[in-house]
Amino acid sequence: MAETPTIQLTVDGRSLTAPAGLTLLDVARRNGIEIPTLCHDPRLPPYGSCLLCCVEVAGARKLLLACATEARDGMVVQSRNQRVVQARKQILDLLLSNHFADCRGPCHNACPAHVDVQGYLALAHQGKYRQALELIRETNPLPSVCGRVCVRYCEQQCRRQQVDSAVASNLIKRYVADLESGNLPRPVVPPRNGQRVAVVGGGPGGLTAAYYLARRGYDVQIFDAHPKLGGTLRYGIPDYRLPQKVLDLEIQYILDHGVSAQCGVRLGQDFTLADLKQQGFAATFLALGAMRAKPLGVEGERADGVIGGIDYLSAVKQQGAPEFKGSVLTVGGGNTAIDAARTALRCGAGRSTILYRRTRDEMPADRAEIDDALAEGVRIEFLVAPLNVVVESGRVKALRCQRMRLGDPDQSGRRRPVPIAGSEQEYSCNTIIAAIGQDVVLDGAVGSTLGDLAVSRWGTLEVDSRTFATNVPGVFAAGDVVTGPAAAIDAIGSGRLAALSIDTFLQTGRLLGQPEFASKRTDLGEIPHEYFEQFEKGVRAEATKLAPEESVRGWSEMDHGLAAEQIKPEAGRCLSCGCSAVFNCELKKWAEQYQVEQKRLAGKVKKYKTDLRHPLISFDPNKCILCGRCVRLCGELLKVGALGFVHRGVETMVRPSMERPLQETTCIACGNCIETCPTGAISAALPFAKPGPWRLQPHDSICGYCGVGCNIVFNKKDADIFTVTAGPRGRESSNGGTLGDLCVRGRFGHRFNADARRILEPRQRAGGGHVATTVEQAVESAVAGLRGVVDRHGAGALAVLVSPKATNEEIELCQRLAREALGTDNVASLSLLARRWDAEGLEASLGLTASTLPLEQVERAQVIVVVNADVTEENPVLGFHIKRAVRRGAELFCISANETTITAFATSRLDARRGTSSALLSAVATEVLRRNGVDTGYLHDRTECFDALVCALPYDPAASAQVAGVDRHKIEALAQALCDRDRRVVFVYDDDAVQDRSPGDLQAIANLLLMTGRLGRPGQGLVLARHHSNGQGLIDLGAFPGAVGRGQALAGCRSLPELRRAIADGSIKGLLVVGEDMAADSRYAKLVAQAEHLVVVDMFETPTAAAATVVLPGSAYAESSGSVTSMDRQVQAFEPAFSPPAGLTGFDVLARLYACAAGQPVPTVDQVRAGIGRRLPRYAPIASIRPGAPFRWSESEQPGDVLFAQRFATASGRARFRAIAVEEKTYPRQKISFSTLDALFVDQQRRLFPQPMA
Amino acid sequence: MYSIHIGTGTCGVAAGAEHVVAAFREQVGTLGLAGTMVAETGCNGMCYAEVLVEVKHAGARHLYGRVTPDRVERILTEHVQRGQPVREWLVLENGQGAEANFLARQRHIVLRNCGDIDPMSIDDYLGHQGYQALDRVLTTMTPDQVIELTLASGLRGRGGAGFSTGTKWQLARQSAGSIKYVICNADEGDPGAFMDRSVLEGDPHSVLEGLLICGYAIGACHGYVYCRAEYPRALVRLRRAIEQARERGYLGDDILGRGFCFDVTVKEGAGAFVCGEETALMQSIEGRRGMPRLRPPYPAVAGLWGKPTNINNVETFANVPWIVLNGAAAFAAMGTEKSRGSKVFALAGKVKRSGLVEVPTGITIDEIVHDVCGGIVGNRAFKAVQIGGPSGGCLPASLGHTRIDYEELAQTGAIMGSGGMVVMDDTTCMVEMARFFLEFTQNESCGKCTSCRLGTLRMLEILQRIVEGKGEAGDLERLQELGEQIGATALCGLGQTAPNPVLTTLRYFRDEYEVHVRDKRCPAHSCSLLVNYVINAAACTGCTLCIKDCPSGAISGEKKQVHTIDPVKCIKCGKCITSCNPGAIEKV
Repeated sequence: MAETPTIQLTVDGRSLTAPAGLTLLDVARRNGIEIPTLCHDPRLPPYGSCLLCCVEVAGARKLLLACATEARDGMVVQSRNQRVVQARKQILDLLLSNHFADCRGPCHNACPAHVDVQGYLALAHQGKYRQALELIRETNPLPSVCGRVCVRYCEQQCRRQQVDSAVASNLIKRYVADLESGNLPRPVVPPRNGQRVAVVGGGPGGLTAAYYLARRGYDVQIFDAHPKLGGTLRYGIPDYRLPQKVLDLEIQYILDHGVSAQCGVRLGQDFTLADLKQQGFAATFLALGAMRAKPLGVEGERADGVIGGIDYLSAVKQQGAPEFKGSVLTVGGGNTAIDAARTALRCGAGRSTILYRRTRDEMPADRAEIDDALAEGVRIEFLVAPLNVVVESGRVKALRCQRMRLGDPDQSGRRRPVPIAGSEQEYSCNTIIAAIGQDVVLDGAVGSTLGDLAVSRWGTLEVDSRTFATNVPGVFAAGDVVTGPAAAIDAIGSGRLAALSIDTFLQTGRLLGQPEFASKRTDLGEIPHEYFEQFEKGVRAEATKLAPEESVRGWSEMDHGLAAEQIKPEAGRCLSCGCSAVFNCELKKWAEQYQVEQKRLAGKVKKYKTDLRHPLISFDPNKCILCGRCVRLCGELLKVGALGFVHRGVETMVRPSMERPLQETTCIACGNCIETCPTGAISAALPFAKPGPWRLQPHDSICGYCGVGCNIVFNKKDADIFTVTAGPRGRESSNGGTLGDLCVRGRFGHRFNADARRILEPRQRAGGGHVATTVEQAVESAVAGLRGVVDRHGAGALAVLVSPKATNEEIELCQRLAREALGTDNVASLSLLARRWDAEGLEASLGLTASTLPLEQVERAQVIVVVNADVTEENPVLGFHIKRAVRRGAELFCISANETTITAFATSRLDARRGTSSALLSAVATEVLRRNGVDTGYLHDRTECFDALVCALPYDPAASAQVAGVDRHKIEALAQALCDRDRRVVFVYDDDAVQDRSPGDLQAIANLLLMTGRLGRPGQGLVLARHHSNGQGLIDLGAFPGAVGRGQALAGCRSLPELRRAIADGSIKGLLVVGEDMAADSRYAKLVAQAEHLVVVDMFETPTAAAATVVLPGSAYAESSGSVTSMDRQVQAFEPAFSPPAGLTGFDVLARLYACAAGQPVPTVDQVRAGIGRRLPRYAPIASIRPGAPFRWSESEQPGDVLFAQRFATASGRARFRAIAVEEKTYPRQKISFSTLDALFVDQQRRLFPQPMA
Repeated sequence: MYSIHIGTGTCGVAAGAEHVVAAFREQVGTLGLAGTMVAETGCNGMCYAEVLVEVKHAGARHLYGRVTPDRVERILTEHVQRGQPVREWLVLENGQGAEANFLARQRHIVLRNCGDIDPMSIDDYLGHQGYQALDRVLTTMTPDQVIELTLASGLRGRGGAGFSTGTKWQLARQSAGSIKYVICNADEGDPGAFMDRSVLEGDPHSVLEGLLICGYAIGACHGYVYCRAEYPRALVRLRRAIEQARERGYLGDDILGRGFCFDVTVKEGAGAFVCGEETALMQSIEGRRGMPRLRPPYPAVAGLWGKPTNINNVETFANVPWIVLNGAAAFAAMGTEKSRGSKVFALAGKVKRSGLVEVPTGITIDEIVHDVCGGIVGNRAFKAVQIGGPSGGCLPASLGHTRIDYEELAQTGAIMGSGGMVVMDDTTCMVEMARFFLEFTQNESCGKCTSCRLGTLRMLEILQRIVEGKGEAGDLERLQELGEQIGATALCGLGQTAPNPVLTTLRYFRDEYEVHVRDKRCPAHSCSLLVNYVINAAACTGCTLCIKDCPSGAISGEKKQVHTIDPVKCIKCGKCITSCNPGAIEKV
């Protein structure tokens, strides 16, 4: 092959060398230069709709698209200069100006701590309270506290209010926190990173910062002036609202993360900032709060009996409740005023009155708190402002006030109180509580030796609003000390962000604060009321409360929260406003990076209804940016063409073809559109009423359906919360990255793992039914029963049947159990028994029965002959390869009695009558012979017995053609294509097909490939399509009679037909059936009922399991360790993504059965693999296999892509031509399903989930 | 023998030409003028004077303008029967006369047969040197020689971009592949542009001949004419021409016995402006959604059905036979150094003579406006000209000295474009003008790329609010920024040039924008929401006509007394201005 010339170009001043022919985008990516793009999918040709990848190329007037511009020698490219960045920002601004969608719900946007409200409500709706709490704790370490005292910005913004009323999300938070906080595992203190951070102030802000810093490995010490931690939470909130023990529990959990605390020490008095630095604290976080009551500013307020609100509440906590007599006046309108007035009642006040200078509408206090206060007997006088304190003998006697009226709105938007002249009035009282606000106390912080901290004109600390850094390096501040008095959640939110900022600063030495971008519908327009009308109106759940007359008598908690039965319905009221793609949206990612202002170019915005008609795929056109990836992927790459564009200009939309519901188009529900969509416009419909979204963790695995062996990724949160995406295999592969597709089964078909019908415990027959038992007992009974059969009827009366979906390790255990431990050769699978495999294998001809080339090479083939394979149905991903090969110009010949999806793509369809394909193939061979298409050199070097074939071939192809009923010209055309020695030819044959095949097919194909010299050569050969994920492994490992230990004295049948007969006539008396449902096949149902001893290992309650003597639970790939061999000989290993619900895997069960029967220790997976490697040299690499590092076995001991490259696996090393007997015979139409999984779920998948499962 | 030629192009038909034809046919019979031939022809460019009727006799040519059926009898009786032309109705008499100036500066190459020959008659075309160029090419020239000739002529694509036609052919010829295509782009979509239509209506064979010569040059055997369905008359004449050419052996196998095979398919466009863009056009022919695709690969390498394709527009092809017959030098002798030959313009707007003009390149805008077109209607001030259609630019009168030359025009921010030219006087609001053109291109965006789909929408929204008096500070900067970025990033020519009218008016008439935004006033008194109607008391005669015409009852006043307009009731429809005889109503 000629060497690709290289070019040199300059990108951003860097000189780069690259092979010629790449695009600028490719070159940039190879060199780690990030160029954003939304419409580019490496599998598709450049399209150029998003324009985001624009770059500046010297000499070009326009900006050029990196995805479409070929890199040329000497090019000078700027990939991120100001012009380029500006253009990209504008493009994103434009896209988002028409993106009528919410990244997050308004609750999340409103919460200063950005608690994932939608996420925890969805978990709570499923009853997953622990997970809900863990999610809340990711951004808020004080959920029980907040569940009681939070001001609930989230609920204020809740969009449900436009349907009926806000979701009681805070009460749900309180419920899950109260229920689960005590059950949290004791935290594992993360390894310390060696850096110390001082947190001054142990209130909500300081505690939060300490928590997240400690979790990141910092050694955190809190300094607090009060005797105990908690700040305002402890000293500013009365016990009847927040019991001490609730606070203590959450503070303790924070301290358990390795946070140390020193209480009773005051900054400036006991230590200075300089001291902290000297002590080795790398950073200091100031969360000093605002805990000094603001004076009333009126004459006489220094008299006895006048006390500050926060001072009063704090004193009650520290010194106990003082005894009040007579009348108590509280001045103010905030929560502190309400708390003080209610506390005063509890301290014995005869009358507790709040004076507020505006009206109730303007009161900043929480509505519910005001109601509770009034219910307890607090009175509120509105439109009253104090003038002076009337003092008698140094003690308060009354408060002289003035009536107010409301004037024009002030800066806060509230109407300003204006005094009414001549309305002075005296309120006699014994005590006055001034609760009009709090001030920040900066003594000790300002003027310290570290230099002057900048102070704002409101007397608060000045910090950078994104990084929380003060002007003094290494000193950060947040919370009330920066903002003035605010809510606890404000301090919690800024405390966490400050912790992240401190972490960045200490790790990188830089100050960075990148706010999260969130697209907001309400920034662009009104949400149409039809949207809200689709929801049924409901009633908000209310908490149970103590009666006010009871609560006012003491300090016990008044509010008791929600009851268990209220949680699900209340969480179910959530409208799930946020986007399902929020965690992996590419648009959001670039919007963040380019600091998009969604409103900057706002104008007319398109609003659409979401299309939820398809059960698996949802489509929200509001989020579509018209990148066209889905349309092009579906049409050009998968050749399905279910999606298209409609309308023009700004009205353009992606719609299913002919604008029908997607399920009524050619859509095959493969969901690859979901994966290529860069936004959340196309998403997987999860089968939950409230589908999150949640941040999911990827876990690589292998699809368990067909033999293609697609790599898949379980993106999981929980056993049932997961999505499946295509795995890394070939996704960006060097050959153009054409793998990485999935089909409907792979993407949506794995939900059976979490099905309620799983077998969860071992059982054995007792009397007329089954009783649960232990694994040990079940294993002993199972083995004893099998031994009993051997004793009574001999080992030949035993059979072990194992599913072609079992792992290699499980199959190996089964065959060893049968042969080594039980002494029978009767091991097989129903899938093998179902076909005449013994007649059709290629052992005698080639030495092995297997695909000779990797699947991905099918795409490069020039001639593809599909024989009796409904590939688009059985192996859809192989179907994609074939369609793409056709797109590249390959000729496709389909030999098939039926029309299938793939025949529509055929250059020529040879519609042979059912059962006559081998006759047809013989006619083709004759025709090849006639045309001198035989590769004589190859025949001479690598084959033998060609004459035997020639003698048997019909010399009149027309006669064969007549048998098959195929037009002779079609036969000639196929023969002609095969005669062209320069073209790469691939035959695809369905080795598991039951219908549409005739005996000798496989041999006839092998003969054709051999005579034209195509086996053992790269890029061509034979693909054996297999229906089951480990059908190849089953054969390789010898799960059929006579496969292993030929000549060994083993009891049992000599061949598959013999075993079939033995099962059917009842000479088999004892059975171990692993993962197969025998009862589903009428031929074997009788044996299931009559077997003396039937041991079943399965995931599901099948009829076979119901008839079993002993039942043991099985497991899925997603739950076990193991390996499978794909149809192209690739052996791939995987590790469990989920834990098996029964507590042990199918492998575990089989290992114990084997150990018990063989009297051996229980083998591990590794030991079984080592055994396979020793037994089968081809499989030797399995001993050290690991996930992500597969090997492809070959005829030699070295792995290799092409089978038979050196020699054939026959004794002579040559391939042997074998004549076949051509017969005309019809076969049953009915397909028979052998796998439990298929029986239970594949069909269900094909019908698509009719109902969500939750 | 007299022959009477009536212009029945779309412009003629719109002026009533079909009735005039009927009247001539009828009267010729009635008057017993059996020897007089009545024929239809295309338009010679004087659209402003339709219906045009030319009477030819013994080498003398008399062109009547604004002919109506009731004038037919007199023309026949006086001119044809008595040999006395009706001079008062003549616009040209043997090239002389009142309208001679219109033609004096013109040079008809593309329009050489328009208005002269019968487009439905191949014989008429053959009588005007028709298919002689093809014959010469097939008999005496190799394809490479044809390309050399085209290169030497300096012919550049008349569709807008002005790429060298010879080079384009050369690239297509050099592309590997046995199957190649040649496409004639007749999807003329610019509002106010009708050059291609007029050529197809007036002289379809010349386009076919050009197409054939190009096919021979690049090695294509099949051509497409992609013509908009809104040109029914052009389609009829084109299809007729193709049939005739097939019958006479100018299309089909072994043309003129020279072994050259070529045939043509006519494909009607469905009305999408973007399908005039070459890659979108090819998608449309293939039956796909008409959306531009990325280049490269250029059509010369992979075009229609993925095969090498050459695409030129109608006007370009119509030049080709002339060049073959008259030589590259004759063509190159006209025009400027880089822009050779002639260019057809469709003149519209406030000029006295609107219609088609074909002028040698290098002529100035002023010369076209004043000399060829006779200046501005009502002798008002020439304010600006929009050149190059909706994606062109708007140049102020002060740049009237600019020469018609690809490069010189581009420097001003305008483009040659396909040749639309809209002339404006001082009553035209430049902001509204820019808004109008942008609204057109925005409507015609295919929706594929972000800049065009959303960027032009946002620009239009800003312009809309400016003309409504709701402009905000920063709007002009936003327009400028959006316009420049769209130009730099949009995928195809439609998107890249869409902001041009806005950018050029921002450049040359910024003060007008500023007055709209700052003072909420339209200096041209054109933006209806920014204009108030007042009655000039000194001029009002109190005739009450305006009161009767006012649809909203906003005008009051007694007879013979000065009237007043209630600005609250006034809906600014402008009817009063038309109805006021003394011109007492003013816009302020």
